[in-house]
Amino acid sequence: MMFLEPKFTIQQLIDRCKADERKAQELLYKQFAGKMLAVCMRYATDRMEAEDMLQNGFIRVFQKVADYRGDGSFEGWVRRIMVHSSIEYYRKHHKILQVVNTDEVANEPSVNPLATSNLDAKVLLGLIQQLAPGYRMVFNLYALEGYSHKEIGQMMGISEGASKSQLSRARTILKEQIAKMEGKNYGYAG
Amino acid sequence: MDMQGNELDDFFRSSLDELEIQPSAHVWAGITNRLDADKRKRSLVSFLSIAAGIALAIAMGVLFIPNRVKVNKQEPLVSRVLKDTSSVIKHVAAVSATHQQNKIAANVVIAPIKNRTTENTNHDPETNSARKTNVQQQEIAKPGNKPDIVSPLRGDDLANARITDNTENGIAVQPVVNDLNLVANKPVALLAQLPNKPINAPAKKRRIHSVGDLFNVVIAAVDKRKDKVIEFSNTDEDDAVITGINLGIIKVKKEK
Repeated sequence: MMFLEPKFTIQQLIDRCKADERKAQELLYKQFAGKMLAVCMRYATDRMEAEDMLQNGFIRVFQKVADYRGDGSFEGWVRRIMVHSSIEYYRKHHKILQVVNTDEVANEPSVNPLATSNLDAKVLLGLIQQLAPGYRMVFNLYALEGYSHKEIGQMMGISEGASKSQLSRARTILKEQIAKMEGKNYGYAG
Repeated sequence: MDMQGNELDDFFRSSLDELEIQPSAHVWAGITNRLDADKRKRSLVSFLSIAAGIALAIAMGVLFIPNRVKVNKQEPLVSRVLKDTSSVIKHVAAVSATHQQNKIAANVVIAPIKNRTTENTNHDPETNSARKTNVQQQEIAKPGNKPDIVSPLRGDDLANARITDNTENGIAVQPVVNDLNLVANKPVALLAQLPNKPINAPAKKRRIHSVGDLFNVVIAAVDKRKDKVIEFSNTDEDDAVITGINLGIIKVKKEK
């Protein structure tokens, strides 16, 4: 069991949050805010959007904390709420998904995995944020959260095929970006 | 060597998994503002609910305070007769059971009065008490004795009935009703007032045949006034048609 302060475990904080105690809510927020903002950042174009998603997500967490029954980790439960908060934000602000034909992404650039391993996490995060909103959402949900194309289609209100094509396009763009950086690195090293 | 799609996914996932970015202070401020607003909203809703409940209770109280109905202190004659008649049935039954054990055969007859003019001689107040004791000793309606029951034992018949005892003191007709203090001074006149129809026929149990009936029953449970706050038709054919409204000041009633 994780201890936040000498006194409280996560479970104790959850119980006190269920009683609507503001101090416990703050402690719980501080415990998870950093990780959850990193999650929201993947779905957002910039930090401001991500903080909006985070704020809405935590409000939902405290409103729904009484529904948490202890099935699975609390962090996982909070994370799912953040993902749904991000999807909700996306649907509100980016209604039109860019649908591309899978045939258009036939030539994928070659990427050296050894080179990518040196890339900083924040740089990778920046690459994701540069994707078009539709690609970004599908790549996050499929590659980072592990949802199936069927689930993504239901969540995003698109077809399964559209989800697949968006993922394919997102991967292609990311590889192109990594290849460019790889070239720069080589150039810089050389 | 090219990186496959899944490898790219794994690479991004593992790289970003441990990433933490601390949010600005205004995020928490925004959260607390929203939670406080929700709390105020909940408080307001609960306060309004309580206030609405109290207002509704007061309104219902004002609407449903029963109007003061003039209570007739003197109980109607017919109802008294009904009460006494029902008690005589019990009484006679008890007497019958006692005498059946003693196996006393007697020719006791319960019969409706045929000639009221003869009753007048038997109904002076002095003899009432004596008859009272006599009646209690009678045996009646024993199947083996073949009593001469002229008509079914209904309320009016019993009220009119006389117990005839041939075995004892020769009194031919004894009015059962005397036993009940029913007719203290003018029994015949009283009996004459009894309606021809069975006055104590059991009240027909009302059944719910329609939606209107159901509403009426529910409303009657709450509103004890004669004219209910709302009344519906109770015919099977109609749908629940409103036949009367009584809002205290405003009364509308459709005559049937």
